[in-house]
Amino acid sequence: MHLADEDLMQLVRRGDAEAFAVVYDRHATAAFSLAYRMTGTRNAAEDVVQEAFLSLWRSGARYDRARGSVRTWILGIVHNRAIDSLRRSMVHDRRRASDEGIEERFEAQERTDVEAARRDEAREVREALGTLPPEQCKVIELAYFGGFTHSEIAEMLSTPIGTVKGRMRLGLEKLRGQLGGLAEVVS
Amino acid sequence: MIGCARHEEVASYVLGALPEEENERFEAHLETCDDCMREVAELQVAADALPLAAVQVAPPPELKDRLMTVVRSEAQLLQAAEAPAREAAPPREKRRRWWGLRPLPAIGLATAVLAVAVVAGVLVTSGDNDAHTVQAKVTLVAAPNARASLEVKGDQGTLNVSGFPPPGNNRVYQAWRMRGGKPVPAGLFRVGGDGKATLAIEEPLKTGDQVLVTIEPGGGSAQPTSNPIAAASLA
Repeated sequence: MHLADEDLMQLVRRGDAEAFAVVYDRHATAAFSLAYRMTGTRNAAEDVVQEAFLSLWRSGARYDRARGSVRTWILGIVHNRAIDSLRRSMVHDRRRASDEGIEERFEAQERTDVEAARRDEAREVREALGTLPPEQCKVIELAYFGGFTHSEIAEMLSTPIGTVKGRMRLGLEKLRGQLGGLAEVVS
Repeated sequence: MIGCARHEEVASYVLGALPEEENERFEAHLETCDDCMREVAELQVAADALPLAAVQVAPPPELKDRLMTVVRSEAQLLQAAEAPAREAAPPREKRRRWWGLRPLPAIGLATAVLAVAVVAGVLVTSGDNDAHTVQAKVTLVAAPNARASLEVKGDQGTLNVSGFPPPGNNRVYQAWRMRGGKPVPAGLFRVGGDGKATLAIEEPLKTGDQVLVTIEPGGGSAQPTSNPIAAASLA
């Protein structure tokens, strides 16, 4: 039987471990990929994903379907946890491993049509990012994946903070336009 | 462009680029500013797509094994703790968590790492008179050596714990007496540097009761706000 994520979350909220396992299987790769991209090491990524999913298990009641898909919600938790982890460790400049350790990567198996579709979405998002002016793409990446605050970014780039904020906004607006219908599929 | 002077924070907010304090202030602002709220909803669409840009990497299978070990043991605890409540609860009542509590309030990171699984009470010793000890098998993720037991004499209970980590900033351990599916506060405790604590349970006990421990905000709570980390059943 194939239950929608939202229905599974109802079961998770009541303490159903098997429903939780299904939710994990569906979203673990996306969660781990984001955590790995942000933290740059497998160990840190595993910790982040573990914390995020345990928090989902223990506080599933906080999921509100009116505010988006389960996947988006989970990735939001992962993102926050990864930022916490980065800001705790304060080793910002040492963690470019995700950009360097290419050989360490292994792509997730393309097991299902759903995953294949996600692979296509991923390509679209990467391409959309690629069409942004480099300075806009840069600030978005530093903020979202790097976990840096806007003032840290301003300092790193020797750019006024107002300019950084402006580039973030313009970049996001453009990205939103590029993605168009995709956003619906993603969430 | 919108009129609100804080609209320039919106992009930073959806990207997670506001320092913690500013983030809190901005969220408070959002509650009162429809313009910014609308703007957040728009830019959020783009931010939500960003995780897809990361190269997809499968997590190691051991990660799931570790998670499921914790999750299954907590699920068992919930079921065990729920059982008496189920018997006693009026049929119309929809059962959710063991105390029928709905949303779990925000759990701090420290707590989330800590809080975990639990226990079934076993009648272990029967000493002089009617005194006996109920062992609680406690599994705290961050503290595999955590133990708890409940010494019962007549209707008086004494909870002994060891190997318990500090409950986190501004948090305290709170004991509850569960009877008929209803938790009643039964005392707060902190642990010393040695991880030990002793608490005289503040409520009278009888057969069929359970004693549970949760982690609560500083002054304790009137109702549990997190899952139990330890439970002992009076057989």
